[in-house]
Amino acid sequence: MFSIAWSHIRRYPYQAVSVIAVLALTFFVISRVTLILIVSELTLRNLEGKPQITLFLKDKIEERDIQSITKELKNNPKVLKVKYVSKEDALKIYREQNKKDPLLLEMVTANILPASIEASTIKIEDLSSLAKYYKNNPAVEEISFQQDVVRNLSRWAKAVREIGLEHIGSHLLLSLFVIILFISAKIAVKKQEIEILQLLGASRSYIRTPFILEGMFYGFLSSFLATAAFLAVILSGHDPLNIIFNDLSIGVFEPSVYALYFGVTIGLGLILGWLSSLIAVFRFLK
Amino acid sequence: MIKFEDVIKKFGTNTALSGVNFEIQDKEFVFLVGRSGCGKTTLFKLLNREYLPTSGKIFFNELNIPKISSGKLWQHRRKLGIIFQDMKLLYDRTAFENIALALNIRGEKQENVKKKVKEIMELVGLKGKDNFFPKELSGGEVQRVTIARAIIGNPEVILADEPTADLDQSTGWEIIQLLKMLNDAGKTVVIATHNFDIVNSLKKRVILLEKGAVIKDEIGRKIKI
Repeated sequence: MFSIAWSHIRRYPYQAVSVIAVLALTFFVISRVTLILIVSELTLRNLEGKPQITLFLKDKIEERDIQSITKELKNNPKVLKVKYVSKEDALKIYREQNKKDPLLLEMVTANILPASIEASTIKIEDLSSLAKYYKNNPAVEEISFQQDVVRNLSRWAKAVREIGLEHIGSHLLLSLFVIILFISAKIAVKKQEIEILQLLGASRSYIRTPFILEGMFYGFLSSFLATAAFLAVILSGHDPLNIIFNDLSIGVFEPSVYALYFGVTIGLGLILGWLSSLIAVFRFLK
Repeated sequence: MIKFEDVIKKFGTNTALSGVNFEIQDKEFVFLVGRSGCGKTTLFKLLNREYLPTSGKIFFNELNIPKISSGKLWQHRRKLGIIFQDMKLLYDRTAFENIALALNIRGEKQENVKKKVKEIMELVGLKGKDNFFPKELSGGEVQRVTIARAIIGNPEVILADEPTADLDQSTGWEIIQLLKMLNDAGKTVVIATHNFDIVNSLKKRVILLEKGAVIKDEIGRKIKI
C-alpha cells in the first residue's frame, strides 16, 4: 500500500510539491498565530499575578490594625494574594529600583515611605469594590489600583484569542479543503485505472488506502516543514516575539516544549491529512 | 458452473437480452457467437456484475451473482479472468506492470510477482517485452498482455470478449490456440466472437445469440448466418 501511495505521489511531482507548499505555509501561519495566542495569554497571566491593589497605610498605625486588614483580606474569597510591605521593606524596594541613581537615595529613610498592603484579586472586576470598601478605613491613607490597565489588557487578550482562534480554524479548514480538492482531482484523473482495478477484483481497501496514505503523507510532510521553519525563526533570535519571552522570563525554549510542539503539530498534520483524504475517498470513490 | 435462468436485460426501452437460458460446465470451451449488438458483451458484463439483470438469475458455482453485495464483489471477480474487448490496459504502465496488477491486487509478495509475471510472459509469447509500453507493442502482443493479465491470478473461468478483433488471421489463430491450451490445462473458457471461420474450424460448443436471445446451442456444427 505504501509503495502504491508513493507511486501516486511520484507520478504527479509538481502538483504534490504545490500542495505540500500550500499546506506548509498554512501550518506555519497556524503555528505563528498559536504562539501569539500563548504570548498574549502568558502576558495577561503575568500581569494578573502581580499586585493589582495597594493600600498605603497611615504612619501611626497599630500592629493589630495591620493584622486585622491583612487577615480580613486573606479571608476574602475574591482575593488571590495578600502581602504586607513594611516601611523597611519599602525602603529596600526603593533602593533596589533606584540603585543606579545615588542622588535619589541620599535623603530617603524608611520613615518617609509608607507601609502598605498589596493584594491581587481573582477577577479584575472586584478591584473597585475592594478599593471602595477600604477607602474609609481609618488605617488607610491612600489606595492605588491598576484596574483600567489590567482590564484593557484582558479585553485585548480576549480579542486576540478570538481572532487567533478564527485564524486557526479558518486555516485548518483551508488545509482540509486543499487536501480534499487534491485527492479528489487525483481520483478523477485515475478514474480509468480505478475502474480497471475494480474489474480485475481489487478490494475497496486496496483502492482507497493509497489515497488515504497519500493525504496523510501531505499532512505529515507539510506540518514537518512548517515546524522546522517555525523553530528556525524562533531560534534565529530575530523573532520579535523573543523580546516578550525574555521580558516575561517564559521558558518556551526548553526541549520539552519543542518536543510537545513538534508532536502536536505533526499529529495535527497527520489527522488532517487522514480526515480530508477520507472525506475525498468516501465522497468520490463510491 | 455458469447458469443463466430467464435473464432479461433492458436499457431503457431497448432490450439487450430477452429471456436467456443456458448452462456452462467446468472445463468447457464455449463460443458465444452473434453479430455486433446481439448481447455478447452484455452477457459478460452480467457475469462480471458490471450490470445487474432486469430480471432472471445468474449463477456462478451456485452463487446468485446479482445478489452479491458490492463489498464482496471483488471476491467474485477474482474467480474470473476477463479479456476485455477494449483491452482495459493502463497505457502509462509497461507490459510487465499491467500484468503484475492482477497479482498486486491479490497482495502477492513482490518476489513472487516478478517470478510469476516472467513465467506467464514467456508462456504467452511476450518474453523480453517486459519494459514495453502498450503503444510500443503490436496488436497481437497487446492482446497477449491482456490474456496474461487475465490468467495470471489463476481464475476458474476465462471470459474473452472478441479476442481476435482487429488482429490479422494468423495472429488471431495464435490467440485462439493460446486460449485452447488454457482450456486443455483445465480452465473453463468462454469466447465471445463474430469470427465464424475460427468458430467453425474448432468444432466446440457454440451458443448463437440473435437480438438478445439464444437461437442455437450446439456442439461441433458449422454455424452460418
